[in-house]
Amino acid sequence: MSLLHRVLRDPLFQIGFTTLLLVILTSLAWRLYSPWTSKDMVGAPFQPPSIEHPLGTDDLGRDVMTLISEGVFITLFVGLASAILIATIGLLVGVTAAVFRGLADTILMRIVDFLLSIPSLVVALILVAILKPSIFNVILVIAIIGWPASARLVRAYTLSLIEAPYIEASRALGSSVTHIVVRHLIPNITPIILGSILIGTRAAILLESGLSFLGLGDLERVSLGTILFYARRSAALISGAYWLIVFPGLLIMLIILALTLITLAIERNLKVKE
Amino acid sequence: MPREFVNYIVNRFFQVMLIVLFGFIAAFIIFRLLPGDPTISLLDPRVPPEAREELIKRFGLDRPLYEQFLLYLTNLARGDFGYSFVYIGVPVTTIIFGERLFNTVVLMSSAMLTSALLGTSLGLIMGFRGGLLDKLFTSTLYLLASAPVFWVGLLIQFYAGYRLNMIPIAGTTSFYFEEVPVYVLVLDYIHHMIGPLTVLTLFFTPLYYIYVRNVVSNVRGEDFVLTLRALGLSDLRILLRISRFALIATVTIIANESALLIVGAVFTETIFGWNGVGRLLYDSIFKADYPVLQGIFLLTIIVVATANFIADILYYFLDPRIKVKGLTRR
Repeated sequence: MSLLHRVLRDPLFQIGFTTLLLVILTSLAWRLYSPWTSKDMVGAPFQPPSIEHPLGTDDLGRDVMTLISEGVFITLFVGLASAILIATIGLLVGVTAAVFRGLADTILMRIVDFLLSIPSLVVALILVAILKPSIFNVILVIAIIGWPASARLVRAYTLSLIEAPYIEASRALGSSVTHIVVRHLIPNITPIILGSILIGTRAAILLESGLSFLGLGDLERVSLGTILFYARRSAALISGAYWLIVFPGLLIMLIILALTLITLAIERNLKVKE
Repeated sequence: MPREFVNYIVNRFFQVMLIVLFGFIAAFIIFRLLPGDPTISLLDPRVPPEAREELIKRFGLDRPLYEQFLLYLTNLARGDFGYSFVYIGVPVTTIIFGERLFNTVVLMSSAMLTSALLGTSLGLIMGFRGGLLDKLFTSTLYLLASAPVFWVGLLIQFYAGYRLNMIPIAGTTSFYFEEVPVYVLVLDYIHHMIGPLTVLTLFFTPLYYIYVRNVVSNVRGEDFVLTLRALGLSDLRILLRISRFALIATVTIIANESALLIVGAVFTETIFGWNGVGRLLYDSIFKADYPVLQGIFLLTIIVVATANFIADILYYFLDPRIKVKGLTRR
């Protein structure tokens, strides 16, 4: 059975995937149903959850359900976009290091080790502060911090592939390095790249929410972390507006949990193969 | 001392110095070449003209880049981390060291100690026991590990602080001007620490638990454990044997997490107004106080390097595989 099949059949993957799907579908359904956007002031401020506003309203009288349903997509978009960037850099660096070995490998892996050892949040905060917060810069910063983990994973996997008999055979037949990389390595690395994207998305979403919570995200676009940032800044805590704190965070937790379960399923099934 | 031990330590020492060197270069690049370099303060109206002259001289801004880099290294080696842009004339070291570093280290070390003890012991027991209780604990802690730390912080501040009045809402002390006995000050300090400490413990415990539990759960099925059982050793004795593996796992995590000793509590300190280095980092970002940011970054690098080095020494004694294999790790 292929890796994909094993992962799809893993109950951890199924629970995670269903959770993620439910979050996405609910947000999508509300965006289609609700007449408001995140910029509309639709009622009195700090209204508790009601039939009209299932998750209440915020300090400006905006519908929290609408804010969250838009926030879910911004959060997922930033997470996925950074993860794809991370996986791309990881693929390039990881394959380069594994194929060429020698000095290039040593230097690249030293840089990877260094970046992995320093706390990512500090670097993220300092870089975002210097580059000025915008959705593009947040994605860029998350990618700068996230690529080493992906590169290390790809390198380890590529090294194990290079030893494989079919690549040895291809080498014995006199194939060029380019031919082996393009025809044999890249297609066989694809599953690990997909896995790497999912693992990266989880880390990226945590980082993005954190930056947004501190007010260092793109304040023009409401992500789940941004809602919590505004909740803390407004009088939500003193006013007892629990719905402004509980629900956005709960959504982040559900998304992270879903991605954790999917990641676990992938890692568990990769191990069987080795 | 055995020769291989000396070789191992020397090798590790150079690896650690490499981290420090990389860190210093990275800081130089980030704070010089990107916007936010010292010249930005030359345009800042807050900086008086004398300080301007002083800045140009101190950073050698009128000289080539490699000379600036050498000057930068010399200054750092002398323990001179520059002056704050915001608290004019105050050295960065004075701002970071002292009260703020003390508050952060007290909070973080208590949190790490509590969660290491809690996570390791729970993980050891559950991994060894298995069964329904293990499943229950493990899924709960995975759930906890998925909750963002700033959300947990907000919830605790909101419910325990605002709603139930059980803990102070923010700050490190209630006595700013009054003269009170020392024990009152200490108790008040501990009272203020309950909130942040709970948040951090909830954040760190799952890391230890999950790692240790998986290690123990895997070891439990290995041949040597079966042998021990066949020899008639009690469960407790076997558990003690296995705890060595748990200890290695714990040291690994402590080594990785101690990188967070200085700046691991940015969210928690910000939420609870804990006057530490994490909050200083946050404030300095909004005040564009780049020398302070650079100081915190460099301090973090030094802590990371030291922690890695200590962990390497511990591994040597804990993990017999290192002695056999020589210098390869894990």
